[in-house]
Amino acid sequence: MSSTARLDPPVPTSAAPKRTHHRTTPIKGLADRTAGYVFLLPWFAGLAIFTVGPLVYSLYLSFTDYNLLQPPHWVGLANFREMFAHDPRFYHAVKVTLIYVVVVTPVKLALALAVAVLLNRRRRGVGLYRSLFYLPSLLGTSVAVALVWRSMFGQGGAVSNGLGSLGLPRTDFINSTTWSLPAIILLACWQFGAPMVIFLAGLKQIPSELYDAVSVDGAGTWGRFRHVTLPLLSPVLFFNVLLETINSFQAFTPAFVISNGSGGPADSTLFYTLYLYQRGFTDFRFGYASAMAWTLLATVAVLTALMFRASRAWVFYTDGGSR
Amino acid sequence: MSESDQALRGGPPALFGRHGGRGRGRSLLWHLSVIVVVLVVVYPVIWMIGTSFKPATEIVTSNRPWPLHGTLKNFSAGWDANPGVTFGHFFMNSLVISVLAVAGTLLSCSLAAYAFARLSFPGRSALFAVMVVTILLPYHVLIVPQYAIFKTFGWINTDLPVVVPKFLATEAFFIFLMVQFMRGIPKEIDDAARVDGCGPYRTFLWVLLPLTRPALITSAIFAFIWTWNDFFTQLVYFNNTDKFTVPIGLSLFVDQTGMTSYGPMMAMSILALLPVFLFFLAFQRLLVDGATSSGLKG
Amino acid sequence: MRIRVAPTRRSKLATAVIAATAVAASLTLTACGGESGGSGDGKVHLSFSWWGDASRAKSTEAAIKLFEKAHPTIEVGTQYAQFGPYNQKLATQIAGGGAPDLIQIDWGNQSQYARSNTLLDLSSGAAKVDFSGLDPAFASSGKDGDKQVALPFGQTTQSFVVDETELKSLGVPVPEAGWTWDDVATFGKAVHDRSKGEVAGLSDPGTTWAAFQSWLYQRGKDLYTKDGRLGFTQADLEGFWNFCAGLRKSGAATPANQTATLANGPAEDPLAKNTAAAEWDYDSIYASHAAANKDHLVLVPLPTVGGKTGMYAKPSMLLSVYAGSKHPKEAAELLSFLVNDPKAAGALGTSRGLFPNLGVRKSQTASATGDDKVVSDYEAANAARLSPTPTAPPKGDGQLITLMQRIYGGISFGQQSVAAGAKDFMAQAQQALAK
Repeated sequence: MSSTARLDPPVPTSAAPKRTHHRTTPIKGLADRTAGYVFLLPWFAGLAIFTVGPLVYSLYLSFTDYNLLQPPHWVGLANFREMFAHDPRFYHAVKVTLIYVVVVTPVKLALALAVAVLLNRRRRGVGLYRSLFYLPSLLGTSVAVALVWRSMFGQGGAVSNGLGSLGLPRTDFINSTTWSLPAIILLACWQFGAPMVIFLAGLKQIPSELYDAVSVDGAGTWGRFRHVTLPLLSPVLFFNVLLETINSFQAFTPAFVISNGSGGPADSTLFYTLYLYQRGFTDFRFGYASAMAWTLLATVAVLTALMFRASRAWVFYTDGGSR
Repeated sequence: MSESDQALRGGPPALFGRHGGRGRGRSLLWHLSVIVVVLVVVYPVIWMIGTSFKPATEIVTSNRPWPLHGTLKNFSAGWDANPGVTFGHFFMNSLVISVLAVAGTLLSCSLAAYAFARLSFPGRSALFAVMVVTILLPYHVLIVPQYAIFKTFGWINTDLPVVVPKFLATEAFFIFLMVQFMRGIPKEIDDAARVDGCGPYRTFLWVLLPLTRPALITSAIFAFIWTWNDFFTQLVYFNNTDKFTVPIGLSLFVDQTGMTSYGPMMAMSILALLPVFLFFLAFQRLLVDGATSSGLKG
Repeated sequence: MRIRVAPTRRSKLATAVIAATAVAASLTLTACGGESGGSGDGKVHLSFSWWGDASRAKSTEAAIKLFEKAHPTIEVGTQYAQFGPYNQKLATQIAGGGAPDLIQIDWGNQSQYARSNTLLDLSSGAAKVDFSGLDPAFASSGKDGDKQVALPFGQTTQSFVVDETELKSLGVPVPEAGWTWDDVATFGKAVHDRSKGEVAGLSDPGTTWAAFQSWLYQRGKDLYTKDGRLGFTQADLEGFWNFCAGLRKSGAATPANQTATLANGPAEDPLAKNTAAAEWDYDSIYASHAAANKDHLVLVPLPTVGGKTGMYAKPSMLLSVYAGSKHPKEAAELLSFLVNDPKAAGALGTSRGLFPNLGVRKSQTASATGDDKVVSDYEAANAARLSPTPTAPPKGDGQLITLMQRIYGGISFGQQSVAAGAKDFMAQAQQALAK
């Protein structure tokens, strides 16, 4: 690799888009083709045995009335009709979830990227710092975490008292129809460890020679970040953006443990999947829950497709392809 | 190899200068700012540790992180809370499935990822789309049909429903993650390997896999922690007390219709955090150098 | 370009880890192969599932051990989880055909399970149980129509749990049996005033479906009609909620944010946090309240209307035999043991309420100590004040419990008026019951 590559446009030479390059390489051929399927064999097996059946079955259930205890019976589009025309809680759950997605995804990723960049260096103690930042995510969202959150953000909790001593109004953030959702959003952002580790791994994969190259070119800190880190990190950044978005749409556990499965107070934390869960397992309307699940799938699938399309404009794959 | 050795060797330069006499002052400033942020982030965990030493009546009425009348009772009570088995047994059960989940995920997902990232074959794009779609459906509607499948196999109350799918790459998240990393590796490296006579299999094993190490380590970390913390799957498949895992054990300290033992629950939660913390501490050390030093020099 | 593939020290470590896991994998997988089948020992293998916490697990397990000793040909495997997840797991198991032989069910779900033909008749047939030792009126709480689909696994009744220590320090007398709702308002206000607004008299009962039931019962009405429709009018609900809202506004009852913590159970509710001096609850929950409070708690019967408390003997939980059980006879034997046998009573204690069999209950009551004694004494003192036990709630009852929390919650947070909330409630409740 030439280490004096000019890095403006912001793609290292090896990363310059050569979109048709690998498709025409003569080495590729039958060997690759069969190899592709061989490598995918375990995945095929898993898909066939554990995934496709349940996926298709749940699609079928979305057109049925199914209480889990008796065989389902076909009701056509009744579940969807009820959902879209007669269920105000459905729309409420959509609203709560959208707010969550729109706030959590960017904030969590920004935190994760900032800390990853901050910790991407060789200093004494860096490993310990990384682990401490990851600590909240290690906890998962358990009953213990819910208790901590309720105690810290509830009435008379550390946060409320802190505000009080600053002369601000003491607030019960958990048991409030206004603040309960922000409190859960904060919990989600606090657990930014997973995307942080993925960013770190991505940063580690950037060859140091490229930084040396731009240093020679006289680029400063921001220049290095802009012209080397960002483009080379873009596949990983794309992954994190996409997956965090999907995850946020499916957010369940934080609301489930904090409100004891109720989505309360007064539905203020009724997330989409939490409502789906209540419909399926406490109201015994699993057909309805499946209809909700497939509506979510369709929505997120469209969004995912759009994000893939948009990614062509800003994600640079060093292997020369694009997807 | 210690961190300081590497500092001497020089890796990627820090984004904010690290040269010359200013280095020490800057370094101190860096440490100070990181420590402040760490303290804010870790405060709730400190609170948890303190709470695990609080007697029952102090837990919801007091907000200070440390107990007034410290006690070790929560640990012994939590350890022996369940009939016939100790919490240690739950730890072993969790450890076994988590370690197996790591092995299964690394093995099966790296294979699939290589195919998607590097090999061309008919139907690749369509299959990739299918793979992404499997991430999109909420888990709660899949659990019922999946339970029926495992029931037919006679796998209920064994490790198999939790472990076998991991060996068959059902966690598409990891495939996708590894694909993204593999695509960040210059194609020229494979081509060079091919010129040297490596087929797709040897290229995968000797070239791609070592270069994808950051992604593999990341996946190992996540696979371990997520399995360790996964309550809902384990709840459904494990029936008897001697099959219970840590998340199930923790959930049993709280019941709205019965007793709630927050103290022992906190104590066991802290203990449950230790193995994953150590696992992370150990594995993140492997996250030090990717392509830079072990891959392409030259 | 040269490609270096020689392993570094770190990748050697990683290889070692992977190799070790592979070995561990093969070991466990082979170990798993051995435990299938299982009936080769000539024993009948029963499974029994119930919800509860770890401490209840110990007492239940002890009772099971005694059963196994008395029935050496039966081996019982127990499954337990906390209440919410338990119901999810049970539904999943029934859907997948893997439900346990003997299952503990919640009264609110009984009709749902019974109407779906998942429970066997216990009065005749393969799963016949002798329950002549139970109070017949109480035992009929397990009936769905003519079919005895379940038997109560414990008896509980409604009460106010009162913080005696707090009241003493405030100089407010502990309420006495026969008090009225007006007395409740006066009592609440006194606590609020004497504590300078720090403590409310009681946790606002407006979100509690079962408190509303007693309120109706005192007035000769009920939540449901015989055919499973709503048994009250919007005006009835408004009457209850207006009274509760009045308590809340005067400070006699807790404000909205504290009332919301009732959903977290006894360990984190206003009583535990010393922000309320009394709380509506079933007496079987007394021990949990006592464990979460430093103060001494006592049980006080519900306020009365025309001398009626509206309290009744309620099954805290019930036992049923799963319709798909391969061993209905043995499951029924275990069921009978758990509701009739003095040895079971000794092991189980009162974490599920009073023991179902009356003769055994008498001797258990006589020897009770501590929290158990408080509950037994309370039940004994109020046996004469109990109204008849109603029939099991229709399916959809569970939805109404949460509907009540949600709508009254919204009202108390100021989102809508009592009248508007009550109107919404009636509409949504009728929809839930119709499904």
